[in-house]
Amino acid sequence: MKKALKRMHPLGLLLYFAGIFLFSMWSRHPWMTGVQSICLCILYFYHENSLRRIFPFLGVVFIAAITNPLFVQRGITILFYIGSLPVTLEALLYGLHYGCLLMNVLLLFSVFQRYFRCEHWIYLFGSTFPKLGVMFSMAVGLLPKYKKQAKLMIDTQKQFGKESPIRRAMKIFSMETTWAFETSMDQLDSMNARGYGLKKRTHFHLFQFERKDALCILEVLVLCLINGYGYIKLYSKFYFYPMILWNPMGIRDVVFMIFMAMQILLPFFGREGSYVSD
Amino acid sequence: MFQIKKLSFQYALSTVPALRNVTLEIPEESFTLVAGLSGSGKTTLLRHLKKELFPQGKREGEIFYRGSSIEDLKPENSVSEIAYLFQNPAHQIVMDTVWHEIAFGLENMGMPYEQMKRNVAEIVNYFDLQDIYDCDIQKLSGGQQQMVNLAALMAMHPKVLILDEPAAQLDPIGRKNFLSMIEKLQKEFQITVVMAAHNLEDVMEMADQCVFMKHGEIQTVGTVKETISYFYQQEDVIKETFPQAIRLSETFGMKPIFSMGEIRNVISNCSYELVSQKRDSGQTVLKVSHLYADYGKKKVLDNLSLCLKKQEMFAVVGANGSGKTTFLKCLAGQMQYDGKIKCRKKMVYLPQDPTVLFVKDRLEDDLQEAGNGQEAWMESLIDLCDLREKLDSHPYDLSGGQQQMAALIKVLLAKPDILLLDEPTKGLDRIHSRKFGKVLRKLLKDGLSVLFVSHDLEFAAEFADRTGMMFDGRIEGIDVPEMFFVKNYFYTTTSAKITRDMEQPIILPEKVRCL
Repeated sequence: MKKALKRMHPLGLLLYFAGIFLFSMWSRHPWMTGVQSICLCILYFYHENSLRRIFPFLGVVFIAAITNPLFVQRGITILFYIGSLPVTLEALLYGLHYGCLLMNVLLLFSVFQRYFRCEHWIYLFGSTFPKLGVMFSMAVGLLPKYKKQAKLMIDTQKQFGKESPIRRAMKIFSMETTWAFETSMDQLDSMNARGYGLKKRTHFHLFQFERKDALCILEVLVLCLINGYGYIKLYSKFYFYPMILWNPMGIRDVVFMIFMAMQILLPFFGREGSYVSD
Repeated sequence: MFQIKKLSFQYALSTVPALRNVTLEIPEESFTLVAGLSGSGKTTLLRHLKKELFPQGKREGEIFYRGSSIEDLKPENSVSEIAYLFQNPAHQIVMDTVWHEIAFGLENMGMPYEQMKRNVAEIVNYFDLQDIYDCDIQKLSGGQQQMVNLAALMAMHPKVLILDEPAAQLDPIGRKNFLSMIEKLQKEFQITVVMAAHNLEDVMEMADQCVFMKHGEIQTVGTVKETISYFYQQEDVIKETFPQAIRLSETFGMKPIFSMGEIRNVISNCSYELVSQKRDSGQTVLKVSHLYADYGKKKVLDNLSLCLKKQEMFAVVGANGSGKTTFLKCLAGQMQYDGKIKCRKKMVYLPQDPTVLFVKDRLEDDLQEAGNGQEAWMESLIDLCDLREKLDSHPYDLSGGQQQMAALIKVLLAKPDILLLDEPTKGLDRIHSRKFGKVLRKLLKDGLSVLFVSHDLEFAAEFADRTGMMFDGRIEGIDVPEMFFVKNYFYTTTSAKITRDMEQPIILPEKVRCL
């Protein structure tokens, strides 16, 4: 599964993540949100292998669940009062649902940034905006360099007596700017010397678009269509206020929930045996 | 390949010309070495060989590339045929990963994807970069970075390689690798190489033609032997930068010889005496015992113990990544460690890169800020370090040697009793590093103690009172330099290798007198 995602073409990868992102962000129905939460947790734990890592995410759910009833008093089932403030079941459940939704998006991003690195972005947009691609790459290279230099400067300056943190920060900032300008001269020369801006740039990358990528994109699109249909027809509306009306779960709902699960767990269905065992 | 006719050049904001009437021919497929002290105009000359890098200013004279004026050369030819490598490995990097850096030039030339892929694959194989192909380029060592930079240039299939002190910032191993790669490239692909260098050890014997520059003028041109013989007949500081073998052969009155065996034969028939400096050791000022430090799981310092005496200069030598810098950082309190560091005196740490010390835009303001209330001491330091003329300049406009001196003044103004130096001679030519060493020795007399880590064996051999080798997290083989470099078999100076097993082994050409 890790390999399946690692080997996937950036376009497929982007579509796969974007699809899940849209569905989990716009999810309004508790059943769908629930399925997504379970599947994304599976996805997350597949990478983390540590239960402790989930606590911050559960914290988000918890905070959303308890703050919502404090600010929203709609709903008819009153559980108890805090002072004169009625706490309703509906508001609590709404907060819980909203918290799950937030957690889903966060989980998705944490998996996303493992696979989608800067070179993926440059690959996707480098041919349309060649200069933007170079700037992006340069920025990614420069940031750690500047950070390292700032650390060195701070450590060195600390030796020479105490100063207020603000004064020191200003000093370091001005030193860093001078240093950055000074060192970028070489970089500019090096770019000119190697013909930057001379001709229309081509783009070098390490990706290849193959049949399996086309298939994968097709799968993602088909699942998106099915789930999109389900969303528009059935799951785009759910009323928490003033009271929750639960429709009994039918065969049709189960089918759509399975489709949603399939969309998220797609990389687990790698066709090649070696995908799964890594 | 190049013909330079009566080239003179003056920088836009300068009052003195940087190049004066330079006439030079660089033959095809040759290795031309441009030597000279810092500020002699080497870089300015090299920049005139590539029109994208022409400096701004007043220019006279003509430069021809393959028979036609270099300014008429088509931009795409100039870019791909003439490759230019800068001194600092990290500053010239443009992209974030190794593969992207190598492909950068090819992308600019609009090369089709398939061909690019093939070129990159070839070059990565040739330079043996497979292991770091995917790496973040900023995390590599200086030697690796410079190798990647060279690979990126070679990917464009240049006919000329212009190298501006390419190995000055590298450690000895990285330097050797880099130089042998240059030699290999030149032999296999008939590339014309023009290289500026101030440290001529290992470089000089590679050259077909040597050009010595002084104050923007060409002092002498010729084959290696011719230029050396030229300098034999006169007094010139530049002789200090010659390789040790040449310096030894001059001391013993021989013709310039590079062969270690021949020199050995001559020396064994001569009588000579060794010059050694007197050493007096005071009481212990710094005692390190059982020091441990690590980066995560990787242990760096492992049960390290050391004593530093008053008025002593202690050199720690060792390979890249052996933990030398980590050791200094522990002493300076910039890192977590286990163990005991017993020191009642004030320690100040001068990092490798002196530019991290400069706060102001003028050197004088910068020093004044650090030296509040101790003007007399500051003035005497400025004279000692010979920086009086430069007080008006921006610290970044100073040469490497002057920056190092300025940084030294700044740390000395903090009134330290113990000075910790990290690679003090990195990037300096020998004239400047010796000057730096002499200043340090003078300061020792005022009660200062110095602990420095370095790759520079010559510097350690000449100036240190005691030397130790960093290995496996400890400092091994601590001894006076005369013994340390003689007992070492591999990790020692060229002179010591030449005179091994003789009755009186010589560790440096400067430390011997012919009888």
